Amino acid sequence: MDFISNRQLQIDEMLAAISAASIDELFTCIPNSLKRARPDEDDGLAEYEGMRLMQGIASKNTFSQFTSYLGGGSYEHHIPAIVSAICAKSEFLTSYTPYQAEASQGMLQVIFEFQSAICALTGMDVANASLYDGATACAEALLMSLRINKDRNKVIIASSLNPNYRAVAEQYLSSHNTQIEMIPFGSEGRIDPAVASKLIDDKTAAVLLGYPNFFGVIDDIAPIAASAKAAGALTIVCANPLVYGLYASAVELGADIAIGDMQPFGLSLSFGGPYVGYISCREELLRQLPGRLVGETVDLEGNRGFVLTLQAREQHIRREKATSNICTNQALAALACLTALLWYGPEGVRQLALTNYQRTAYLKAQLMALPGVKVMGDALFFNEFVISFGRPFEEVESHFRKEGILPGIDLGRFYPQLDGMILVAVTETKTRKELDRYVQVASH
Amino acid sequence: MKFTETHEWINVKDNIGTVGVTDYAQKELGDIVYVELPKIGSQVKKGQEAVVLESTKAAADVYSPVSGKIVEVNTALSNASEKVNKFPESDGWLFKIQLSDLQEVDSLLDKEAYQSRIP
Repeated sequence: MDFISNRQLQIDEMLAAISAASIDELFTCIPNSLKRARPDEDDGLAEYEGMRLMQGIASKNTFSQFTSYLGGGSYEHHIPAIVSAICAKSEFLTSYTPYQAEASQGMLQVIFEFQSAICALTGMDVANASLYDGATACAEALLMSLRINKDRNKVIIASSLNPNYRAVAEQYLSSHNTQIEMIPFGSEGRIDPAVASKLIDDKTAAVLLGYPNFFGVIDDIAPIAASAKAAGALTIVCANPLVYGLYASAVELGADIAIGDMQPFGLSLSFGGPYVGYISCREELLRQLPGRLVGETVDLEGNRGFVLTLQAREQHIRREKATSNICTNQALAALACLTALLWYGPEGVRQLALTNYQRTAYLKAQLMALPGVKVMGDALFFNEFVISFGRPFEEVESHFRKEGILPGIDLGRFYPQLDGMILVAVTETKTRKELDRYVQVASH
Repeated sequence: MKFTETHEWINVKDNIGTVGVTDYAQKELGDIVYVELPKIGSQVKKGQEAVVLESTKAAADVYSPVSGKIVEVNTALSNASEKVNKFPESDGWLFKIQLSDLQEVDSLLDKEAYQSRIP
């Protein structure tokens, strides 16, 4: 069956309306080098041949043969076996978004528990059912702040926020009349709170900071949040959720909105997605929180139950004035995060965060002791740090790759002034032996 | 008391107008569960959105019948939004506005003209 039901007559009519001679003409802007010719003979494969072909292609991916120290927003963590056991249950795996929401009590309970877990991590009063990823969470949080502070049109973003997140946020804001100002970072990768506070004025709707920032640095956010509050602006903290196992919660920092990407809990790297974003806020801001929200209630007989709540914010009721065009959530990915979180439990999350910190601190200290190695500053950090071997990145990378190690991310790709600096991520998956091997490779 | 075609009313006394929605509007909306009030001191133009009423089935914008500065809002509604349903044209008022152009009131509908426009 043809999925496009247009007949030639209708196609011709539409083409005439836009003065195009053919459908192919609509695609002439695509360079021929990018187009693939239609196969001129039957290249169909038997199941076995097809499997062999796919395995052959898959084996070209050599990532699993390397010990990876790549981070920058995607972190290699152990995924407890229970995660796939729960997520593979067909009730979760194959269920579509609950349109007849209250008939799907199991799904609603999962969302409710996810929201509760996010609130427990960030210390915030309310969280939504999830967003696409950390980058869109940044964009949604900024738009939320602009709705709350309707008479203000400036937002301040730390230039040390994940540059990919920043790019998405800037893209979202590009159709708004919003002025974006950047907070510079110092030579240690740290933000000077006094410099940040100076940028905040009575036109500022929000200040957005990474926690830790892209360099793994734990910035001194509390004084910046205090300055923002005094100026009537909101503070948005974009955090790796695992950081809350070790450092102050968003609410303790004085943040108004806490966002980030839940990938570190229960989601595989998967070339950058699908991940799941979280957004949470103080209760006063609830009306402008985007996306769906599940609430707990009781039915007529007093039994505990779950409902979608505060839907007047959403686009099926509010139309073009909805808080967001987000009308869904990352339910299955959120379930994976929730399962991992519950598996670890509050004490487990603390231990996991501490282990990540300790292993990072170990590698950092060992490398600092090597001649010719420079570590960027001595700021507080979490599970990433920045080093330089005094050689171009390509040279360092090729040296490490020969030894089966991916040494880190080339920061020059994102910050020209940091050319030759490498962002190294360490998680609980790295053993002492592996870390010592990194140091050994670095020293020759 | 004067009315708009978009179902707001305004009562002007000494340059200050009290604004709310009509009984017809509250009936159409159903049970109002939340009232989003404007900021005191903000400027609005005639016809500009000033308040959002959320009911269990819809969300509706309330437009300012005149231009001016918001000088007071009915804070009692923040935990008693049902007042808009019960007393739409008295205790359920929404905001008070200091008119910047008194003549704008003349272009509004009187009670009879408004009544004749609602089904």
